[in-house]
Amino acid sequence: MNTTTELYPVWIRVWHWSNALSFLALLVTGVSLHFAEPGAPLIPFETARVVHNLFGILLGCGWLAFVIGNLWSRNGIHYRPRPQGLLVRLLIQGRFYGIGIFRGQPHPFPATRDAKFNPLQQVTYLMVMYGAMPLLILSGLAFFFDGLTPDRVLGMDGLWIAGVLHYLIGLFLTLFLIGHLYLATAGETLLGEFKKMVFGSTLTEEKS
Amino acid sequence: MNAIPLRLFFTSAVLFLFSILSPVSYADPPSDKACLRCHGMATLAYQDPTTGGVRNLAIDAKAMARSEHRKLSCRDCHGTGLDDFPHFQEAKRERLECLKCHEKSQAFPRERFEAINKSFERSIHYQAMPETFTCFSCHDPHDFRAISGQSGADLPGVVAQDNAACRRCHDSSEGIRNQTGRLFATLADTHAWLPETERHWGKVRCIECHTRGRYKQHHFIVGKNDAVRACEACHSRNSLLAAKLYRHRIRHEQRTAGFIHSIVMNDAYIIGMTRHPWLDWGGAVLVALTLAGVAGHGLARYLSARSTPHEHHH
Amino acid sequence: MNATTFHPARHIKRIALLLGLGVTIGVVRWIYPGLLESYIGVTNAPLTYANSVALSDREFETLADSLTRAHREERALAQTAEEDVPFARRLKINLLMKTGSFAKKAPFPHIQYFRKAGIRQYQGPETCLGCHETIKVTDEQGRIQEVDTMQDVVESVHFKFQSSSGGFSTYGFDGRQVNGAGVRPIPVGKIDRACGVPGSFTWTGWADLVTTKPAHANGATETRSEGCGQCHIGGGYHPATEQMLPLHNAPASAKAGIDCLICHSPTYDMNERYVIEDGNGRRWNQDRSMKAALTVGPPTSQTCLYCHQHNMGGDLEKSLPPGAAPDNLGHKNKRLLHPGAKRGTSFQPDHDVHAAAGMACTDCHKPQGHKIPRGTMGVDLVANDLPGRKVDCESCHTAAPHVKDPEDRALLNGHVARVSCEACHIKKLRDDNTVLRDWIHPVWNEEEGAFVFKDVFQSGLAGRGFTFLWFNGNGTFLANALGDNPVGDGSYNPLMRQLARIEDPMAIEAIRASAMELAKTYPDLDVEKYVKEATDPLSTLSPEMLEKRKKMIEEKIRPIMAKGQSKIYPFKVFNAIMYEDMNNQGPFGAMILPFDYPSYYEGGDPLASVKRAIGHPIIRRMYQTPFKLFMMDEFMRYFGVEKWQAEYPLDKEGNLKNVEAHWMRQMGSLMINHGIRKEGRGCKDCHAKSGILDFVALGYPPERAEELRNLPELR
Repeated sequence: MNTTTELYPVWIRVWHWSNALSFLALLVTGVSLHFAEPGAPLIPFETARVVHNLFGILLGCGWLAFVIGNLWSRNGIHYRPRPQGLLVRLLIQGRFYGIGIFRGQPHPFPATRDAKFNPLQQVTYLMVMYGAMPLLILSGLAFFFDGLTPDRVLGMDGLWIAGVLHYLIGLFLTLFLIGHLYLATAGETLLGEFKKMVFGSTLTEEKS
Repeated sequence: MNAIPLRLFFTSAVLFLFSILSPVSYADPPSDKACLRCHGMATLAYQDPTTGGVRNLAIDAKAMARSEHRKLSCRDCHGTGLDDFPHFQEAKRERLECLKCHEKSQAFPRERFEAINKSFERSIHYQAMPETFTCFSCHDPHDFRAISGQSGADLPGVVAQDNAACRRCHDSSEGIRNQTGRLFATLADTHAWLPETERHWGKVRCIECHTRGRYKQHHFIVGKNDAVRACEACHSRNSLLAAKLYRHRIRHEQRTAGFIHSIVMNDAYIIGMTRHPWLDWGGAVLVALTLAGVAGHGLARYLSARSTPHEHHH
Repeated sequence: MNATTFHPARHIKRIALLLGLGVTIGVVRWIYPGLLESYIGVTNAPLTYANSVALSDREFETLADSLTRAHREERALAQTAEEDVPFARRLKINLLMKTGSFAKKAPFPHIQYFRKAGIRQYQGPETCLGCHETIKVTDEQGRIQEVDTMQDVVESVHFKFQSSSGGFSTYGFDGRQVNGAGVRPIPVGKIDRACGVPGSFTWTGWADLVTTKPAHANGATETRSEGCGQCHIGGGYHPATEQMLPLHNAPASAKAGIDCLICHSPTYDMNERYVIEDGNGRRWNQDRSMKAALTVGPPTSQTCLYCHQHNMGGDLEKSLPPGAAPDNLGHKNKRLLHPGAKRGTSFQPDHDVHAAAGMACTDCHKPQGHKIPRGTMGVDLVANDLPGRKVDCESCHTAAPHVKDPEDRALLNGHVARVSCEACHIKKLRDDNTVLRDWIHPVWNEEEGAFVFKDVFQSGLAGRGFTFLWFNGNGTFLANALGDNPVGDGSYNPLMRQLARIEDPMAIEAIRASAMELAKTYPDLDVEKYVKEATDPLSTLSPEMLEKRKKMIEEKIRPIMAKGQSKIYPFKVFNAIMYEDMNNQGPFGAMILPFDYPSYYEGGDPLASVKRAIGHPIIRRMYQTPFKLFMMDEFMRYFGVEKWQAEYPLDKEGNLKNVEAHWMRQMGSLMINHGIRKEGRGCKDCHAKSGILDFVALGYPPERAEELRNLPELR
């Protein structure tokens, strides 16, 4: 018997691209706000602030939708790496990117119904989606609702902590974005992964 | 004295002190105590029939004790005509001037007053009301504290103190009517464009934007057409706040810690201004390294794909 | 689709999620309210009113004509004043009065609305909501919001008279703000606050019929109406109890029973306000006549005073305008009048400068939809719809209100920092202002033909009927004004002094005289003991309780007294002797037990009356675990008692257990803000040897007190 599964259902694709758009907008405006300077070739502070707020809200809502969607559907299982032998699997995947990929070896962990991500993806996405994103959103909210932020934390301005945290996580996610974009070209074909995220990808598995 | 048209006339009419309740202190010298029997009443005031505004005659003894003039007693400035009650007419006639005392002062020499006066005379207040707007319109000599003396103090306190001087009149259309007899738009309306208005007012002073140029000109108060409106003026590395609000603090910091960023950064987070060079450089390096790594890996893939005979399946 | 894509596990998860949600909603929505209703023993049933009658078109026109006749006639008379020939004038008047434009300019626009909409019968809220389903409400920031009218009314204190949220300016004796931050909120308000003025709870004394034997009836009996429901806008068989319980709202029948017109109709007939009894119990009748309905409009002072006259001038105030509640007691089952004024601050033109200026209540108490502000300050536990909204003198009169005399206006304004406007501008309350009320020695009232409580002391004078206290806007759980002398020596302690003792010799004499009068009916009454306890209620506390009281005042109450900016305010003082559940006694008093009105008024046996009242289902529930956990434990902590001892004070044989009669351990202090006089007090009313302010008791250091009594300017 055969099982057909859509690895990237429509809601995931919509969420992914809204996330991508928000993130790019936030990155550009965030840089403009952080490095604001009169006459600098950046988006004007006034505009950047509004755009940053709007896309920040969109990103937050998207994240919430993502969490609810993962609870509701079975998409959540892809973000739960099996701890048993995880390290070994990570090494295998790492070796593939370090050596195998240049030798044209096949991907060691092709996508399946129960694990569409390879181990490295699993761990990274878990950290990004359930670690960095909530912190980013929380520190952003600390700016949004200033009244809820403590005045002093450890003898420093409460916002200062939020500000630095927001900057550092933003930086980390920017690095992630670069890696993510690049590795998306490292699928079976150069643009295959991009296409999958646009048109979806149906997986047919045989079952005994 | 005529050469310097300071018009620093003290009249009871310009004391708009909305000060908190202050008890009559029994430790005051006798003359002060006698004055404070009435003027210590926090709500000693009347409605001026000419403007309809409230004229406050109260002295906050606690604020006075903290002010630059804390060592003075009432009589040091005010004449003897006010000995009897009521002295409503005598008070109206009294004219007081800053320079009477400050002529010979070491701590605050005359030249400084002259410089201040120059910029004051260019200010929108003086231009609009040369007859009635005086030093005392903003600075109440009974509670005046200079910012330079408070570099170690908490900034919100300084901000609140300085903004209170502006908001005393500008907070409500009534406040302005009291002074000018005219109705103006309220602060909330004229600053509707400024995001997070109340937060801004709690953290920076009105004069950061409403004075021309940098520190030296801080009595050259300008109206909305000339005020700073570009966000980047403050929200940037070269923030004008460093030259205004944080000026004394930074100088103090440089003396004691030698590192500008430490205190200013820990004190308040200001987007665009509060940047630590290490964090910025670190970030740039990390991004560059990642890009380089990705590019290297990509190149390697490209080269290996060319040299390897078997292609990827399509 | 392939059949193998069906994953039972996944579906079970989703179905369980949906099912759980559905079941929860169903239980909360339908099953739980029914269970609660039967638990608290209340009845809800559709309400009908005999005076809600459908008119024929002809009757409608006749009524409309009569309502506007006076107005049209007045105009027609004025317009034809020049006409000399009487006959011609009469014809002209008749002609003019019939013209359409005259009718249009007449008052009561609802006549035309009803006419066009074909409304010929007033059926309560249903009729009003036909057009006013939503209303626009302007909030403090000037934002306009459209709200559901019924919801707005049902959420207002006038309907629910309690609040389970914050906004109370009152603090428990344990130092916690009532429903304040970090406190689990409980419903608090008039609904569950027993009080010595009415002598009962709203639950136990909602709508009662009392059989009286007035002297003038020559032995015949008269049925009279009594109960808290006479002044509350809900029309059901009980107060809006449902709303104070978790996840529960006012039932539809209670909403349909709301009396819109008592606030909105200036021609509301207070004679329609009496208790009626039907198969489901007793409730208050309403005026649902077309006459009242056709004349609706915004509330006026008159409509507010239909109910609030009771709190202001009192029920016995004379020369009230026509239609006033005390002069229209009912077409039948006349309402009992309440002698003894709660505040004695009349809002009539002769007594109040604002009433004389023709101002309406809503000029100061500016409504926000159906929520009406009572100000930011308050000593009592009355719930507040708009806790942040100011109602004060300063909003109109500015911070410098004295304007006339250039010689002393500034000095008078100087006093504003320490002295409230009311302190000088209320010089006197009405003479029948009640200070001490005795509920346990009822006396026969010939005229009413009923046993009534005895007001042991009434006075409208400063120092007797009211006293002066520092006030920062807060009060205790038992309505004691909190505040402190900002320049005091720390000796100000009203809970041990001003409010705990009556020291005025004339007041003590008057109390002794009352006690001697009572002793004629109650020969066992020890007059001296009675006077002692009435004037020094702390004398009944054990030494340990007294110590605990002092400690709690210093530790829990002082910090609240020190809050904010205190000023001297006048406070009407009040105390009552009632039966108390001594299991729940603390240093400030014990839980008051309510009286059942009919047995009290008819039999004159207060103990029997208490037994009957506490037999009421909701009082039984009060002494059971769910209510203990839901609110009574918290309630008693505020009261200054560690927790609620849920031991029902009536045993199986029907005997009271551990119930004693006591004065509350201190007088309550009620804010007085009406009855404002134009002329305030003069300097020497206070700044003199025997002035009305006791500066020492107000916490001034002795030398400063002496100085204040003896100002050099006044020598």
